[in-house]
Amino acid sequence: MKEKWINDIYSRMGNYQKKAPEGLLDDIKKEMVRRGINVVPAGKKKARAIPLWAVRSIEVAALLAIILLIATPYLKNPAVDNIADASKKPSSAIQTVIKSNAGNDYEEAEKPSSASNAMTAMTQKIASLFHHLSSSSETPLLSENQEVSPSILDKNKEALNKNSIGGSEENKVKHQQPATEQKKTSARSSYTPQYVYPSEHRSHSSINIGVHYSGILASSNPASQERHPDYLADPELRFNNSNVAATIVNEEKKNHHQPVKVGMEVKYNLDNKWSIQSGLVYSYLQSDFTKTNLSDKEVTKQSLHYVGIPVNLSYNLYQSKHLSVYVTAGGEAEKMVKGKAETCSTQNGTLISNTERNVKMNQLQFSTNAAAGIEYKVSDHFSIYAEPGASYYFKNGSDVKTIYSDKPLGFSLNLGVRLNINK
Amino acid sequence: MYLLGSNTEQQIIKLFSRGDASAMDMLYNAFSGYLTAVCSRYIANEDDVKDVLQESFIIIFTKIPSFEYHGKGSLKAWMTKIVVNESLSLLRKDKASPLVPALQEPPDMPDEEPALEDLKEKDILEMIRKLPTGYRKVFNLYVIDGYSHQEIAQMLGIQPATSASQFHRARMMLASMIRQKRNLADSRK
Repeated sequence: MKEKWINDIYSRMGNYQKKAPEGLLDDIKKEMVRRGINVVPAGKKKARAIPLWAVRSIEVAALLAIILLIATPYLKNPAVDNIADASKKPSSAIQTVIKSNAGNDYEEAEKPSSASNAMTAMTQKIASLFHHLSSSSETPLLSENQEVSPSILDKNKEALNKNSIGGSEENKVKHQQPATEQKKTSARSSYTPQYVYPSEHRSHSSINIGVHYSGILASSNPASQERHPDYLADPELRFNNSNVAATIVNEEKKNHHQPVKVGMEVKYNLDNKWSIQSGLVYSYLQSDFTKTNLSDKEVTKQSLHYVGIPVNLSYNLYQSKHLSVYVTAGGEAEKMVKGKAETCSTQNGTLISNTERNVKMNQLQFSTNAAAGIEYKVSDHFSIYAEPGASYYFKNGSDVKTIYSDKPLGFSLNLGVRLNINK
Repeated sequence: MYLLGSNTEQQIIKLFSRGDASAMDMLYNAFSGYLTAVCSRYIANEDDVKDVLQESFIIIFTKIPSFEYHGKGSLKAWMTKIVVNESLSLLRKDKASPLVPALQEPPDMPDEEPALEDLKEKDILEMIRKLPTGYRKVFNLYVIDGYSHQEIAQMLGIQPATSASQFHRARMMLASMIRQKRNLADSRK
């Protein structure tokens, strides 16, 4: 029990006030500006965020529309069919997908043909449109561009890696052009020989509804662990949660769980080869952040709920009665609809506080993905599918740490059932 | 103006969530005096006080959008924690201020308690600031900021028993400073 005079000190000093140092507030504001911290707090951002993502969504949608508009007539073009005829070495579509070093498969494509010229023109056209559109946008559109080609997995990975390295996207578009073009032509010639479809053939339009589950494979592996020895220099690292404890050695560990995605998907077949999918996907992200300081431990469990709209373009590589193999690429815009962070502080294993706060994210989360898919038709109406692929999540400027922000590139496996309504 | 009511806190939080440019000024006006006193209890050097406060306010302004209001006084408590934390961080960096070694014998403690009546808060603050850093940290954390020895031990990376003995010595030293001041005042009469 504390003595009276000690208690007196507490009661007299507990709410004592002292004049703040001269010019402190001005200095604080100046310092915040110097560090690039927004002096006007959070709320203002909302007004700006909405138009920005709206613009991006429109750009993505417009680009997809353009790709479809341009690509479809070319696919109907006899020149493309000629490529198929010209190919002398039919190879299995599955092989094409699986082989990651596909260089050898493309040798035939070196042969000049009118078809390749047509494709070059098409690619350039798209590139110029893309170039125009992307002037105000970040990288998402770069990958959209590649959808034009029935892109194979490795090529997309390569592109995604380039994205993550950074640099001028305009340059990237230009530099990638010749390579993309070459592969595009050759890839088609190697996997379309068996099927030449008449240009007027436009039946088989159908709507599929799919339910899928997905998880990002790579991200479940060794949870990203980060030490922040320089924690004093960065207030961001210390005050992720409002529960603050003094620390000498502050160690922060992050463990992002595999996201769980469940979706409903509608697939519209444009023709025998091309289809476009969209739908609604719910994602659940969970992360654990552990801060340890001697026997002081603070565990924050962050759970975020997203609802997203994916738009994907697929190209059928091979189709038999029951089996089809395809490649698919596209983008997704996700909005975090609900987020919570529960912080549990313990000292020597004894619970001292348990707080819960809401996590907000005003920005949309954009991502792009590419996958190879295999679909097995169980009956006329049902099919099951598996789509191993890669996704890349773009930075959205939010402070919230998620698996998307910490591990933007992830491999994913979508599994699902599709309900085929219209066939 | 500093109001102890929850209305001020709620109002400030609302201003921040609206993105109102006056939010920072309002928070500063309401709490800078109190937070300066908190910081000054831990840090004896005025320049350092300013640095610590600056850093603390930047953290407060940056993190307040994610702060969740848990009722009257919760914003104040949260800000106090930040200031205490920042103060301790600075003291930790200052290698020249280790805990006072236990070898030193504490001054004798007479039976009667020192009387605080004649002393102003300002005087008490100055006495606390005169305590050696190690004593000062423990005394502030234990007496005024209400941490237990167990908690202090974890915050400072020491043993709970060390925290208790540091407090004991700080208490002795402070009592003797108060008596000295009284004697001085008495002798002037």
